[in-house]
Amino acid sequence: MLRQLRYADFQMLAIVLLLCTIGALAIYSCTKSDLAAAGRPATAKLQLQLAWIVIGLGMLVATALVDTAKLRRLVWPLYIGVMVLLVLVLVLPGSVRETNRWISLGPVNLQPSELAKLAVILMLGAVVARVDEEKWDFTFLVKTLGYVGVPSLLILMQPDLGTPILLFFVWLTMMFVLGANPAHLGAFALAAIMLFAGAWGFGLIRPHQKARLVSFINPDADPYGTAYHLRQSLIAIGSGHLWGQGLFQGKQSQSAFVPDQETDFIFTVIAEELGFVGAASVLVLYGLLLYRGLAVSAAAATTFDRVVAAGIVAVFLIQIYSNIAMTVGLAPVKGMALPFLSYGGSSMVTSMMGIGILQSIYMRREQIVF
Amino acid sequence: MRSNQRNPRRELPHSVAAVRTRWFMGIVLILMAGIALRLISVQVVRRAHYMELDRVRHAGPDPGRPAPGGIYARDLEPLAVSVPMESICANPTKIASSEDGIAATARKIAELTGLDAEALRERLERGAERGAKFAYLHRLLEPERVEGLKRKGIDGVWTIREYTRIYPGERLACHVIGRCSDWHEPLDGMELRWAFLLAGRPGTRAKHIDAYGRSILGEDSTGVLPPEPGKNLVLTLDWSLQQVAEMALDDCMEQSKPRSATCVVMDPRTGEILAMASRPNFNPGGLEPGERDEITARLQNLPVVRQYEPGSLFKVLLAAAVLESPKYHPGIAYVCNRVTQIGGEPLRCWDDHPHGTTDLAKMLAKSCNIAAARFALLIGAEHYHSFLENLGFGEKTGIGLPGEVSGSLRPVEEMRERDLANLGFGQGVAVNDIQMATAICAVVNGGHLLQPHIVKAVTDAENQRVIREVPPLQIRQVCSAETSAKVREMMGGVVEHGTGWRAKIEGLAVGGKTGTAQKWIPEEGGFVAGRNIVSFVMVAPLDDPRFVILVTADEPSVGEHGSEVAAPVARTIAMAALRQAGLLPEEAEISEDVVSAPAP
Repeated sequence: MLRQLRYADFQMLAIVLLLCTIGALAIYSCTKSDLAAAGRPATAKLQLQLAWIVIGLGMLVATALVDTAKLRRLVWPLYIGVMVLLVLVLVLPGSVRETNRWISLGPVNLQPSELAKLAVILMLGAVVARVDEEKWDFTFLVKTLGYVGVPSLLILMQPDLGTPILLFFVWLTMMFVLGANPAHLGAFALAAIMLFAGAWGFGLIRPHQKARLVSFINPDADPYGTAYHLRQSLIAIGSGHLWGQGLFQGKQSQSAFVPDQETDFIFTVIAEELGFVGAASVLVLYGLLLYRGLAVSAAAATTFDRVVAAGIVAVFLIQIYSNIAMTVGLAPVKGMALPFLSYGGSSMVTSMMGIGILQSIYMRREQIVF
Repeated sequence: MRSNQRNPRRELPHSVAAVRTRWFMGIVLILMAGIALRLISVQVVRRAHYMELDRVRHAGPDPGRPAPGGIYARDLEPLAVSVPMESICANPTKIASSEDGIAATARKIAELTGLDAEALRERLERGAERGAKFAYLHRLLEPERVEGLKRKGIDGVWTIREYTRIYPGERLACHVIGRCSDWHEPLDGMELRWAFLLAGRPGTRAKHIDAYGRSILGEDSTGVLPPEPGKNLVLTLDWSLQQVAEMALDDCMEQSKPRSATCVVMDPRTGEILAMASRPNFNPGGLEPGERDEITARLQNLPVVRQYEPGSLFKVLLAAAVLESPKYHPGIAYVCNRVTQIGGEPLRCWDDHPHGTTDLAKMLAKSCNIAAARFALLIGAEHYHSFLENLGFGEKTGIGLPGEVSGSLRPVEEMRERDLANLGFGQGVAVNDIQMATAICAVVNGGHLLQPHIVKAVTDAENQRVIREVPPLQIRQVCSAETSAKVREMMGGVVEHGTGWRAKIEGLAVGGKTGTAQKWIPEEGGFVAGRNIVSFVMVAPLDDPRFVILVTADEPSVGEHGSEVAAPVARTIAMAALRQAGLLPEEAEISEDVVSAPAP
């Protein structure tokens, strides 16, 4: 079984490891002062992140060794299980910043919406694979969207607007890559936008979400209010210049001005300390990662594999893009981790598992070639 | 086969999916390029903007205080300077929890500085009770007294440099200079008006601080900007002339016992204020105790903050306006019979003797109210009003001293016949001394209305290098040079054979004009006999004026007219000014004693 690992996509693995290293360095850089000030070892968060990377890599290998055909059989239990967790998270007490997104498992917090992404992708893969390519008409699209809609509604109730939007875009991307009629997809996108506008009009969008959108449009309007985050982020990125202020030398990054810097705003640390060159290098690494992912999708042995690979790539793209776009002021601020770079176990493990599935698909690509 | 599969690009089947995959990759590239462009914009193109934000954010203040600038007379004689002192500060909470404790620390400080141990202990205890981390133990000690303390060094006790303001001239020009509190906060006068220049800028230490204000671990101070000392202010005041003016006013207060008195000396060539004094006055180094109202009165810089009816002084300006009027020709004269009817009301001249036939020169020399009224009616409200407006009445001069009043000039539309007549001899108009002196300067200097000013230059704190100089500024031409010459001639007549004879200087032609204006007393609801503001304006020398001296006295107890009370004061100042300028002829010095003897 381990022999199969020889056929893994080592380029993709190298990219992932490189990103993890950059992330760990950036996390150390922006947390050491705060930790030291709090009387904890400066490397506390770095150690934890390294542990997560190791665990993540373990999960990667484990997932890669699982045949996607077996995975396909697990689709329904996984999907149902995630649903249960999504309901549980709403019911269980304990909250992070007034929202119910986490389930506390002792030292570890589980974020079911992360798992939901995986479940939805696998589910879509299974659904799509059952139907012949010729029958992918409009009704079929509506049906597939239903599998996205149910967990999305549960996640919306947490409340979390970001993940449902992500799931919708994942679905859109998957269907596009698979060859759905672009006109149909356009109609869905339009409907989604109108739905959002309607929700805004009827007051269903929460004030903090509105404020984020408004401050995204004009970040200097209220520098110490909602736009604070973005403004601080831009100051950090802007003071990086071409070559950066040097690793561990970023003034903004070392000074706690950017909230959530080791998690959602990790990119600002890289941009400040390693400059445009560093930030652009990270972009290139992500570009290569996505390219490799698409190559996996294209080389996949079965339709299920192809769909799942495309879905995973879509999740990565949306996470990467919306996170970086947020930190540079091209998208509104919302909580979304940057895969492999951000501090945190949930994101790391799910991202690694995503890569694991891609590897599993890639390693078994030759089965039908023979 | 397998080696072929290693390269996925060759594996891509020519299906819809493959095409879509390429499309998708294209979208990814576009999105990434968008971010890259944005990064270029933020990090490379607009870097200066974010760099500035970054710098501001990370700069911490430095406790170092700048040395305040001084105020100097035009000859750089110091009027207000700051002296460095030391203040003893402490962290009471730290001391309370130290080994020695408060009592022992207080005793130690007392031993080293000679301060009272009991008072120190009390201060420390009070601070410790509040949990304070900072308390002044004693402020503004001479640096020598804390030397021992500094050498020894007590944990939780330190000294900081502070400045105390001293005024070497004591009361000299106190109203102009203003004053500072004991802790060097500007309160009034130039001290207040120019505080932003005098104060200097505190230094900054470019220290890296985080969002909570903590300094970042392991970061040393990277760039220290030392405090920038305050700039010096050089005034147009002439130290010795100011001294003379102050002394002359003191004499006036003693002899005539008015409620208040003022004096302004201006250079009609430049608009510079050479001296400005006001009585009652105060000592800026330490205010004498007194009633609240009385202290307020002492602090007022009357030449700037008081408006009053100028009375007969205004006839000088009337004369100029008449000379400028097309309706006037030299043959015009009026008859003064002590009383006449204007606007349905009787108008009385001040003199018991009728002035008879009075032309313009005689009107000025004898200060005839009836002729003044007639001349005002001759030239008409519009001409007279616009002439006065051109001279700057009804509007602040902008001399740069706090609290200037604008005075008031009745609009033409509201001016009835009688109002116009009254305006001829300076009633029904409110002015301040600066406006008056500036207007007189303009009509005697060839018609140039100059900007009155009191700041001559701003100089560098260290070496008095001039940073900015205030040049003379002509606002406008208000009358012709011929008119100006004629007005001077007439003002000469006032001194030569008119009401201003007490200002005469032997051997040198000078001009002047007396003023005695009734005061409007609000409590009485009208003018009250004997309650006057008397004044005298003097121009010297007459053919090429160098000094315009305006002296006023409010309700003198001895003497009733400007000629008696104000003219001798103006003359004293003029003598000193002329002597200093080397323009005083010998015979004037010789006859000095004769003239200053009481008039028969």
